[in-house]
Amino acid sequence: MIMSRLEKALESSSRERLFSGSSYRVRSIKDQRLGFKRLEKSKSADEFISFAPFARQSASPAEIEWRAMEEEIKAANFVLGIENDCQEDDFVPYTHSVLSRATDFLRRLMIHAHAANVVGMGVPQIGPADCGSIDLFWEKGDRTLLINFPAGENIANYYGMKPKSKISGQFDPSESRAELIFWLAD
Amino acid sequence: MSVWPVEEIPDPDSLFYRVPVGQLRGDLKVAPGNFRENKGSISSDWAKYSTATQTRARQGCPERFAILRMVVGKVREIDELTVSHEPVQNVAGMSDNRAHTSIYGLESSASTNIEFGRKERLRTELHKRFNTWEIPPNAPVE
Repeated sequence: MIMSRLEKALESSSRERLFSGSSYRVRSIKDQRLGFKRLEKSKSADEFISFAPFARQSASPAEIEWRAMEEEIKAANFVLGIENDCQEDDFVPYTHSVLSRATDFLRRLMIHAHAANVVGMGVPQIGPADCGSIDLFWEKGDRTLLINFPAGENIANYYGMKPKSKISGQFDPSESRAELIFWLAD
Repeated sequence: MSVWPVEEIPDPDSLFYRVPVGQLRGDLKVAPGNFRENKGSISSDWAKYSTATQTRARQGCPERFAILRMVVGKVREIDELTVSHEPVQNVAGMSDNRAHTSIYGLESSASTNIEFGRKERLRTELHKRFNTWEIPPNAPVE
């Protein structure tokens, strides 16, 4: 039977993924036709793609850490709904702007750490702090790193503590500051 | 005018500190961000004149609050933090509270030297010492 051009293209692309060490693979290329099922003429290309039953290879530690970070970032959106129902005089609402400043910084930090093969530093807790500011807080055994992103200011303040070493300072959060994570991981 | 005397709080005594449940993350753990000033100090109640349950209910809607216990001596061992008993009595717009105690120093430093990360240091130190709930979030209201 003649394969459709789309089917050929997909099979070819799958082989490329297979041999290039992609996270997608099948058990045996000799015994299986890469998991494809024949496309009925009446079905759409979308349905065809959904038939391809490739088993997902177990994720790398870096992928697992990245996903955990994205989950934490997603969960952190709760801060945007915090209201001043306790009548705090110093309450400042939490904004997308300050939350994005913190989460964008975190993503850049993770990219730099993974690029340097520093994996397993853990995902920080993202939480609300005073006056509309946002905290990133790593706590790993006897070491902690707290980075605070104030509302309305393009700066971040940090303090880290581990046995025989403490760090603190202020920086522009548009920078990556990968050395903070190296300090935490070291 | 207050007739309750200001007393010196001994180091072994405890303070109860109210944390709004609405500001907690989904895991309901104590976080450094829970330590914050309101009107210039961290406001708490001295356990000599208040129970944790009374502190939780003091502002109304006790179900909206969790309570931390802070040992006074452990607060004082943190550089720049001080503890002052400040009973509230006959103050317009405020309920009387003989237990009221303020922790000073989180925002303002006595030193003229600029220390970046100072507040983060103090919040980290507070969190390291006090990270277990006395009354957890969502505990039944007594």
